[in-house]
Amino acid sequence: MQRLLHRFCKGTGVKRLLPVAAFVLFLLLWQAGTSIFKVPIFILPAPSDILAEFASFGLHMLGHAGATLETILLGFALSILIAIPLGALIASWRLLSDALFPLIVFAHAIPVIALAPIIVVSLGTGLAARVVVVVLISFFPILVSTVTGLRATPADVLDLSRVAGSSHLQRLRMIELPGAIPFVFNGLRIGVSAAVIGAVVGEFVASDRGLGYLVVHSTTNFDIRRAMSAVVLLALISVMLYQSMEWLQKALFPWSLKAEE
Amino acid sequence: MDAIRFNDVTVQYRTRRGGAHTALKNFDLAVRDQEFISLVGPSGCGKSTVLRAAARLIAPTSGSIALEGERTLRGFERVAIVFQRPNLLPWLNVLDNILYPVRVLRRVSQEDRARASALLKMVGLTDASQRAPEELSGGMQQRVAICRALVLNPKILLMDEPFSALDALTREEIQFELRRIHEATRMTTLFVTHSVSEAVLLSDRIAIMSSAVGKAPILCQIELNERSEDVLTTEKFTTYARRVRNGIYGRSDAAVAA
Repeated sequence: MQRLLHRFCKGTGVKRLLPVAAFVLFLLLWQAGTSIFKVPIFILPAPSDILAEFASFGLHMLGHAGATLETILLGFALSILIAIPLGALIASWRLLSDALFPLIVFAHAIPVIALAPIIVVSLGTGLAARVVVVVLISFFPILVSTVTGLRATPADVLDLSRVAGSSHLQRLRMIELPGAIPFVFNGLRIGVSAAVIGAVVGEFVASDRGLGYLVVHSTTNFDIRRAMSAVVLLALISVMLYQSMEWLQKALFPWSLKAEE
Repeated sequence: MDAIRFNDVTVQYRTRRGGAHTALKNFDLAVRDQEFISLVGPSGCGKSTVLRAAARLIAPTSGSIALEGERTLRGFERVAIVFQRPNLLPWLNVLDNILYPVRVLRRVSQEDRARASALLKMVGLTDASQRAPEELSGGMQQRVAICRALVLNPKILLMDEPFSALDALTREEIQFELRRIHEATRMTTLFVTHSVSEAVLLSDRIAIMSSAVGKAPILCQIELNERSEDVLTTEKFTTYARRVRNGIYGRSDAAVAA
């Protein structure tokens, strides 16, 4: 049976439609489950309830989504700007690596959720505090992937470059950094998903706008339908940002996807 | 005139336990200008160490290595290297991969592009210049690696088992091609291989290294009138191959020279 299904899916567009079909089935089961078991809306709203909420409250919710997106993008951009150059320094300077890496690992081991209220006390309730939370949570995967990617350059390629007379900077620019692209994008994909979590945590702690704030505010008023709508919107943003990293990699460095395969 | 001269070269590595491993001891060898010389010998005898020391990738613990053009030439103009794997850069097309050593030293000129194209033509890959490395077969990739090594017309070409990852047919084909290139350019070539027949087919001289560290290599002059497919079955070829094997397996030096 399994072999038959596999043969049916192979070579047709069916394989591409499978995830969509699975998602639709999941929604149908959710809808049917809430109707059959008469689950109260304040415990678990049905997909149709969430859709109705989008229809009535959608525009207002988009304003909150915009605020969250602003926090995510600012924090994520800042993470990239710090993590990639720092990764290059750490990968090429052993002493700096020995000095900084344990500190960075320790900083990453601190649960950001526990740190967020302290950051708010230090930086206030504005955008800056939320952006710092995003940076703290999304910077680490980008840094580690950059360092790993730079250190993964095959020894023979580096030797060949040395014999060709390259300087350290030339090797970094012409060999190591391009070679690290597949690793860096892996880090960006993990980092952007982490950035969404960071933005929500920041908004939980101190904000009067954003989808994280909306979730807290709605649940306080037992408006689970609105809270779930905000969560669904957050998931959509997360998927969209993750996917945009794929598109960016495909558009700018198509060879790196083949290298990953 | 010697293109490379190893004078009493010793190379020692530090082991993880703090000891020292001697990879090469009191090694002497003079590689003549325009000569094709192969290094053969059992695994671990120090063939690759010799090559890497000549490329200045490792510094000798004692002794010295003199290279032709050392003071006047830079990078691949002086010494070019080809490894077992082609090591092409996947983000560059074939032509840009060939031009990489030029880019390290200076801005690429029209003449450089013309030379790279001529090299591609020489190895039968004219149509591949704009293709990505992963679109090429292993043999084609290694041909591109050879073009990259030749693009700056180096004084010395170092090759570390460059054909060992290729299938037998491609390997044979590319061996003849390399010999043809050598006859056309007369570039001094130091070639490391495990294959006795490959060494005999390609070389003007073979240096047979011993697994006993510190033992001087046995030199075997190869004089073949032609280097085509027909030579492989001649008595002269098989005699040379037998002598080299005698040397590798530690039979008497006389058996090698005879």
